[in-house]
Amino acid sequence: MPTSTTLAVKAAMPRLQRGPGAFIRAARVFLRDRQAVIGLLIIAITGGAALLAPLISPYDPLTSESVGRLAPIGTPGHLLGTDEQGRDILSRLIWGGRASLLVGILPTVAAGIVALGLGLLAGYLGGAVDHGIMRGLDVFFAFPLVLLAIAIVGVIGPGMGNQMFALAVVLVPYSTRVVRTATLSVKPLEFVEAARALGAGNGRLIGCHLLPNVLPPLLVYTSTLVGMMIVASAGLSFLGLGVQPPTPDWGVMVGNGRLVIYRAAHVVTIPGVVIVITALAFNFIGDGLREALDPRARR
Amino acid sequence: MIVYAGKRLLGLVPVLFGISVVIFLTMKLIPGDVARALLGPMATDQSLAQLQNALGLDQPIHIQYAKWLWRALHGDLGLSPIVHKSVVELLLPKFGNTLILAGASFLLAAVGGVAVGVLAAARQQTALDRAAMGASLIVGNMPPFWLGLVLIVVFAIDLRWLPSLGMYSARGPGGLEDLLAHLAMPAVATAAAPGAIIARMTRASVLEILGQDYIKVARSKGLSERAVLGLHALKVAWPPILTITGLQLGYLLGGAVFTEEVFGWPGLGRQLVSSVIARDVQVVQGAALFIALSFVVVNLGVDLLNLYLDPRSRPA
Amino acid sequence: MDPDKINLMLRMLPDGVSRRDFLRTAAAGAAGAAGVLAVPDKSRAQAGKKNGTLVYGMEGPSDILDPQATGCWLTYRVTFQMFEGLLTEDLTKADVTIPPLVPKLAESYTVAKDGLSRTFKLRKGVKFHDGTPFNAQAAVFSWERMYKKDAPNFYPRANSYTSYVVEYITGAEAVDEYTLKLTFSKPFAEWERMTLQSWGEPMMVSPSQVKKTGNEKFADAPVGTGPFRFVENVPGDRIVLERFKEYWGPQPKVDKLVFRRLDDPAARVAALRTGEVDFILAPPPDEVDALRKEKFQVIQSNAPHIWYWHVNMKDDKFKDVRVRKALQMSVDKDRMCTELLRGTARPAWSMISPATAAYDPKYKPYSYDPDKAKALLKDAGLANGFETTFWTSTSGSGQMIPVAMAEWIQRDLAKVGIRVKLETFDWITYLSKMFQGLRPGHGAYQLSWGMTSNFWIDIVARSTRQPDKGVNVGWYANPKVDALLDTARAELDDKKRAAVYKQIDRIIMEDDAAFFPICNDLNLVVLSPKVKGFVNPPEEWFQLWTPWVEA
Repeated sequence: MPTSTTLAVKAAMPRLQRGPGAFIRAARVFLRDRQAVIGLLIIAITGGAALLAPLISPYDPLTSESVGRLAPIGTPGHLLGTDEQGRDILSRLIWGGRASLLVGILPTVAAGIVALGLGLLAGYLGGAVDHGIMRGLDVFFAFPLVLLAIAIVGVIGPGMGNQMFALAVVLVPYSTRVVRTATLSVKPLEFVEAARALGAGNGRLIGCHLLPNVLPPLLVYTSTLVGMMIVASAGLSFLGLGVQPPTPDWGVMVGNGRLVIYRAAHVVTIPGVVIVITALAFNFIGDGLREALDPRARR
Repeated sequence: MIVYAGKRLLGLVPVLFGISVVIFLTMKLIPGDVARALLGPMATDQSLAQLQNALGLDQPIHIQYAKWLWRALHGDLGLSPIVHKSVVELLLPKFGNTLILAGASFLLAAVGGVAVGVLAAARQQTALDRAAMGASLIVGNMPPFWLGLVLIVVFAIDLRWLPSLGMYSARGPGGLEDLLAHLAMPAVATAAAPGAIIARMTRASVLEILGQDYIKVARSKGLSERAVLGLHALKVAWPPILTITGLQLGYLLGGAVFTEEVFGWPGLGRQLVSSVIARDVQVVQGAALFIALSFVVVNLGVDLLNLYLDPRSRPA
Repeated sequence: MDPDKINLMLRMLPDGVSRRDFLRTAAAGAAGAAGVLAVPDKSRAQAGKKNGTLVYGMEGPSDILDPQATGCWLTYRVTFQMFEGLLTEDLTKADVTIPPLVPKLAESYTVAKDGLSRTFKLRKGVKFHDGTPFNAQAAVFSWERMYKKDAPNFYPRANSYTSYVVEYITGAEAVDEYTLKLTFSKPFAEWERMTLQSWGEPMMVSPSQVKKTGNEKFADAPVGTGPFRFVENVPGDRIVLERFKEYWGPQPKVDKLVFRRLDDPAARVAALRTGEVDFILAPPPDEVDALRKEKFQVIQSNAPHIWYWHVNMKDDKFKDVRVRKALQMSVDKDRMCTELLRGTARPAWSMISPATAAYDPKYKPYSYDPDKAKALLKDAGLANGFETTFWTSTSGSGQMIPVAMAEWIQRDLAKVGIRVKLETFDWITYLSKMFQGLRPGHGAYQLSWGMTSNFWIDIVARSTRQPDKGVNVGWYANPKVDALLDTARAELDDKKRAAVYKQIDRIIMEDDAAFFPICNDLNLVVLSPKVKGFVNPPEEWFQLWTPWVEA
């Protein structure tokens, strides 16, 4: 599983400086990182294309084109060819970005939000609450992440919403662990003690002192996760557990292409390349964020 | 250390208990009809009701759970109405098959990843390093099902070097050579992403150590680079490398499900997927138990091994 | 039903597996893993001799190997080699429209004038695979297992599957050692042909074996009288049969049959090309031309297959006949068969299967006319179209490439305004869900079926066979059709009976448009050039005792 649990937390140890200056400093470091900028650009392009799909998609992703099925790359009018139902592949890639990006990003963010709450609670309150939460989450750690998601979707049925739900549920334990570790390392620090001595209540302590210092490691971790979730959600779609036909989705495109892999391998290879590039881009962004939030960390 | 191991093992029990409850409950949520699956679509209401009664499906849920758990502890995981075999009889050989694939993949990922990582660290900033890390970056993001299909296109379809399906040839006499030929592509497809991550993390870890003062001292004493690397750096690098490698296990198992699917490898992951889709409740429960148990045990093993090798990481 | 019978039946279920079984299986598993590194054993070495073994890359799972208690084309391809019934279809002939009905374990038979009894003269000198003799007592045992509720060997599951055949049986009597008499409560003209179908196969089973294993476990060690005997069944992987040396008839040409499960069409073709399997069915349509060029034999047949939809007669949109008629005209079946299916199927317009007496290839009550369809919808007050849900499976016996086909249809329907939400399930789940009947708000469920007996339309269209009394999942009910079905069932004259079934078809398609047929699969078999003597009959299964593999 996300290897970088320890590294991520260590790397983004609480910044004791606060205020807008820190943000601008971090942004500058981030933008100096060439890979991170490339990543950002790639996401801007894919995300932008997905958002603007109705405007920029050359064809309807659901119509079977007159040029016929399995047209090769470079067919006049169809740059990337057509798929096993005769639909333009480029159009399906553009429209497919909507489902694929959404299913990669939304569950990760949702899990992060839930994890923030759970992790802060567990780390701050400690004792029985901490124990209870972590023991409960231990059950999830007993399964490889993807298998658990498959099992959940198997129970609740296929579909995009269910796919996102399953992935979010499965991610919560991992993100919670990160938040909790970060909380535990900030809690005993002097500035927190000081604030408490000055009479700050629990709410203020959590909200104003712990939260801002727990967010950076969570942010780094989440951005690393998104790349993995793009790949994992494509896997669920590939197995038919995600969006249902005929909605386009990169994982579904690879799955559907299996039947025609002899005749027209490009139907399978092209969507896969897009998945790799997108996941890579999120990887770059994650690395850049880690750099920006702690220059001591190495790639 | 032994006390710690003991404590951890004891801590496993409530976790396994919790797992069993979760597995049992979630499968109960599935609207499926075991009785109908056994009697066929033409069954009368009366025979269905009687069968459901005999199967204990109309008893309160905690009684059903208790019975299931009791039988499971005695090695009886029930019967699959779809496949018509006892779950244990069905899953044990598949479990073995997955062990073969996962084992081979893990070996490949660990050895390959560590080797590449160490090499890249040793040749830091050279073209080799950059190429290796660039490749790792890309490979680490490849979906295993896609990589598997690409390998099939290249090696099975275009070059016709390797078989693309199953564990053994349908016709052949079996044996090790046949198995290895069938194992080649699935193992590579499964090992690729985790191996790439191991390579990158290994390189980072080794570099961190190489930057330490005592290494500089060793170098200044005139020791060759190889000796520095071998004697000092790697000895210290083992524990974090082991941790990193161990952490990849879950990731690797998840990938194995997809390669089993793509290559038709008759393993537990593939069986789990098809049983989940087919609502074969007993098999899913059994498979989930198998997976959870082995995963938890292996993780514990890695943790303990790590503890043994690196006293620094022991809890206070 | 007697609770003791239920308990008998349940002996195998969850309580039955003991710790000893677990340990034994664990040991076997460990031994198996060790065997990976061992020298190949003798039985595997024999399988390597090419002219001894015929390997079929099967396109889906076989169900259990108890012929009476199961139903499925794929399963029948296995059990047909191991078991025999009183009569059989002669599947060694390909150049006929309907497979001829010929005697098998019964040398001859007579039907009483009132149709209420049939007397069979049984073949002498027939042995089961376990060495016990086949005679009238064994036949009575086999029949009672299926129909006689108070018999000690009665098997509810078998009764459930063979119900079409045993519905009207009132008695099975061994008149003497080689004469069997079956009595019926109603005359049933198509009874003979119905005993040869794949849904509940009333074939003869060894009484001593059933007594030894019990009804439920018989499927794990099946014993019949056929030219091949059971060797092993690894579920989800392969089934192996071998030649039965004491078979009463001509010996099969191969020693061993291996049914290797290969669900994925691309994997099937790959295995065929590498020589791992000797023949396959249902190749990916795009591969057929290439396979022909590579010198594989591609043989087709007019099997009794229809790929069709049950339409929901209770749905608030589809209950209007104009909507159903619009449906019939909304799909360009020719284009789908040419472009998507690459000529591996023909468009279908009738609910009568090919390879039956009443089949008329020229009957075409509708044609592709999206404009007319839209006009009909407008008449029905649905000028802006409507939403509905259709179900299909992801694979399965005879289903061809169901999801791709359903997507194609979904697209055509969208053009006339019918916006279909498609839901798919794996085959086994699909069947159990589908047979519960069409749900409210759902428009149609897809299935592939057909029989060489016209009685099939009785099974899917009679009003009393709605779930859960039968598989008329679209809730179709037309008393005129029911009455005609009664007439057909009792009509012993073949020509007259065929005419009645044709009439029924016309009502179902033209008056009611209650079903939506799409195409007839041409049942392509692709064989390695080394396989000789294979016959692809006009049926959904085949015999494997005539083919052999050249060295």
